[in-house]
Amino acid sequence: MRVALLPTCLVDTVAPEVGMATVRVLRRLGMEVDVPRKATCCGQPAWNAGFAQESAKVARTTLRALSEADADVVCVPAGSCAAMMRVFWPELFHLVGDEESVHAAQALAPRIKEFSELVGEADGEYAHKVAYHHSCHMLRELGIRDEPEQALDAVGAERVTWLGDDRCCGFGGLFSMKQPETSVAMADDKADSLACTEAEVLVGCDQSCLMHLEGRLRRRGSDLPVRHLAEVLDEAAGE
Amino acid sequence: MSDRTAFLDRLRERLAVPAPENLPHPLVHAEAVPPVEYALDLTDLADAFERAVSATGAHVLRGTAPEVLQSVLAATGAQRVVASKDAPAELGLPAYSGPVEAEQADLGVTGALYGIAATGTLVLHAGLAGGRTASLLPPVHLALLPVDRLLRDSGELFRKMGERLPDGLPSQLVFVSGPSRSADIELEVTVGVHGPRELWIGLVS
Amino acid sequence: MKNTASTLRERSAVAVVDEQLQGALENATDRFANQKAVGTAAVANWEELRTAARSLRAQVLARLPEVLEELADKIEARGGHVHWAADADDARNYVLEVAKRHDAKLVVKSKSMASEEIHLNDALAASGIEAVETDLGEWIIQLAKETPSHIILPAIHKNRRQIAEVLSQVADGDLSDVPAELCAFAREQLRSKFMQADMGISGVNFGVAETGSIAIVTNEGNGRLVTSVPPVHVAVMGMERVLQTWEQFDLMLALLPRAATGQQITTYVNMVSGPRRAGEVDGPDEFHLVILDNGRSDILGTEFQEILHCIRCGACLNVCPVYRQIGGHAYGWVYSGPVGAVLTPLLHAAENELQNASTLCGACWQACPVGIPLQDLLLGLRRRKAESTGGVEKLGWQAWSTAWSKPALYDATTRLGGVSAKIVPESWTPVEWREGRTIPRPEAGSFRRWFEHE
Repeated sequence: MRVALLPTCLVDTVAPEVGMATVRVLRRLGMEVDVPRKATCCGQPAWNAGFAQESAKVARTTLRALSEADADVVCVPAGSCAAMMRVFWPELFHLVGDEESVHAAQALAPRIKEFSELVGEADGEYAHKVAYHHSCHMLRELGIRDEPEQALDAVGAERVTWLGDDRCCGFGGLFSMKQPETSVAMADDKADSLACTEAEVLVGCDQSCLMHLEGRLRRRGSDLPVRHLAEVLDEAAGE
Repeated sequence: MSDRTAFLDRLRERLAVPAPENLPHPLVHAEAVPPVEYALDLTDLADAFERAVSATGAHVLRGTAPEVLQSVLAATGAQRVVASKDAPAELGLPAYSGPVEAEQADLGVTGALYGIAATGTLVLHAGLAGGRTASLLPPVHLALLPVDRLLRDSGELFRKMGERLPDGLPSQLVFVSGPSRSADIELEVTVGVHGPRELWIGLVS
Repeated sequence: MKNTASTLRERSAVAVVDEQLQGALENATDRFANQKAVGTAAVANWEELRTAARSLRAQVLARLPEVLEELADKIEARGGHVHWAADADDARNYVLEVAKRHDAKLVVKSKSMASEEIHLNDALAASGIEAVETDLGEWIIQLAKETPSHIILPAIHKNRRQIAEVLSQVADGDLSDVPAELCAFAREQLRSKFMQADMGISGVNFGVAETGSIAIVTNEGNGRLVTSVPPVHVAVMGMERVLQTWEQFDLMLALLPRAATGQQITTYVNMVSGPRRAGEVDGPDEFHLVILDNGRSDILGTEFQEILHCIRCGACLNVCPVYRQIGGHAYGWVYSGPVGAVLTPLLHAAENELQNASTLCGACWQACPVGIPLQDLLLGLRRRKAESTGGVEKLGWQAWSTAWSKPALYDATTRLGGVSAKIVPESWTPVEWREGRTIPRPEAGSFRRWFEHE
């Protein structure tokens, strides 16, 4: 299977390790991975802030690059970006009057896969107790709940019961800076209930959530490891 | 009349151009109102009703109307009793005269038009009862419900209004499911604010 | 503690450090969410009902003028009165007129958020009429001179000791803080008000057009008392709170209590069709329905129309992770939580940043028994705001989109971002982030450079 990988802007700035792990995991599964150079960002930051025109301009660049890519699927290692593309792109382009892009987005949508939808039950050994954070767009907009859990189970991770595991972490894009006290209080809510579990690692599929939760954990003096699912599966393969 | 016209014209103006479609979460058209499917065992209506009523904190007694009334009088020690027009005639209770009399009573005795098994609900009809407050003001309410008036669920009433209420809606139709309750103080449930704190239902044949 | 700071952020900052509020919110929202799961489990086709309800509410709204006309005609045919109130002033004036005509000095009220929206109690008080809230939670906050902090449990932010203090204001001496005793006191106090009141004012959960009826649901019975004892009954109804048929009402009755508190049904469902009739020894002689627009018609025909589907169950509050932290008062008006964050900017222009009280997580949408995609509506409000007051933020996004729509510039800026993140001193980073969180420090170099050389 040929995969066009959209790294996402977080990977391209502050989380390159997640991108690297994603590539290694997909290749081990026998997939051919390419990164279309002309794909940039899905446009979500401006979209969530209410700036549709600006979002569409960026999204269009990525839509074109991915539509042109010679690939069977597009892999996006972030639930919120995958949701933006699959669920919200048609509305975005419709609102700015770009019907051609609406159709292109609708045509591309079935080929857009969030990372965990591609990994099935990858091989490996990850004998740790993990708390899995269900990020909001992935869970509610894309309906992806089982795949990451199955992937973790397949590598022997012990998923702990974590109250509030599907509650929003409080990042919300610019919300984290516009309503910082609330954002941090929401992270604390998660961190408090996490502390009541025996989790050794916090795992998720959205680097934005993980960056926010890890940032808060460290500020609270916790050194609990925080990993993207791709990093877990990469480590599990142990090479 | 002009208020009405202006008001409705404004709505028509606003509705002339329909609201835009929601693309990410499209609305799915429903042609008809689907009936509510209860995940409950409703094979024996009287048993189901009794279970549901007990779950609300009310009591069910079976027997004749006089037997039930005696039991409730004994259990509650009620002295002053008022009754509505729809209480079974065999009890020989005169119909109450109004809210002042009801307010002074310890026990209000009424009939009921229907019972709803799925939720343990009484259906009270103000026209048949000749009023509303006999079942509301006294601290204890006893309703005598003929067992053949039990319906499976509220859909059996609302989806068949013509059959169930052939004379149309009364001035007040009330569903009663348990004693009055509140959870406004720290979510702790207390009964008897403001309606009856005890509800007894006599299922009579 | 009153939260009177002026911005959403300021009010939120006060709320998140209020430990008692935090405890109350966590307790209540967790409890309700759990109860709702139990309540909905008794309905085998919950999802089917939700989906149908969304469509049915839309169908009713599409025919709103006809439905309201049928409701009004049938009420009037029974001798009831209908007033069409274009705005808050109009509604208040009508109620005052009715009160004056009856020389009313004491009014008892059952829960009506619409009446709070139009500040009806203030208008009555200004005319020398005592208006007493009879829903226990509403009575408590009325005495405390506060606004409700939750749609279903208005006094959720108060603990028993605080409630005892508030109620002691109208008692002879201090009351204990035992809920059963406080409730007994409330029953006694309010019972005399019910019996003496000249007029009862209620809200309306649903108007049902096909028989000219209104339905009021309560657990306490105050909705029945308010509409049974005083000689005059005035019901205030937001114009969108209407259904065509009892069949539709049956559906809503299955959804509302379960979504709100997890109950299979509320203790009382009171269906009123006009004033008392011959042969009835009690009941109001006069029935009035005030149909309120007050900005709702502005929402019709817009992308926000679905907020008018809301049945005021409060389920969205109970799952909202933001509400859980900031509580109802932080929203600054009558309606709080996700529904408040959408409705308030639309009805109450002074509060126009509530759409930012959200991470667009979608929990509200999933909890909503009538399937309103609240997160879409919140985002629509952000777009509306961005379009009208773009300012500096718009310039920022324009610069961003210019750069990131060009692969070469995207590449350059993201690489620069990565390098900066490694070396920038924390004190140079935005305080809004670093106050509560550490800065992400990448260890590896650029992903795309790595990939090229792989």
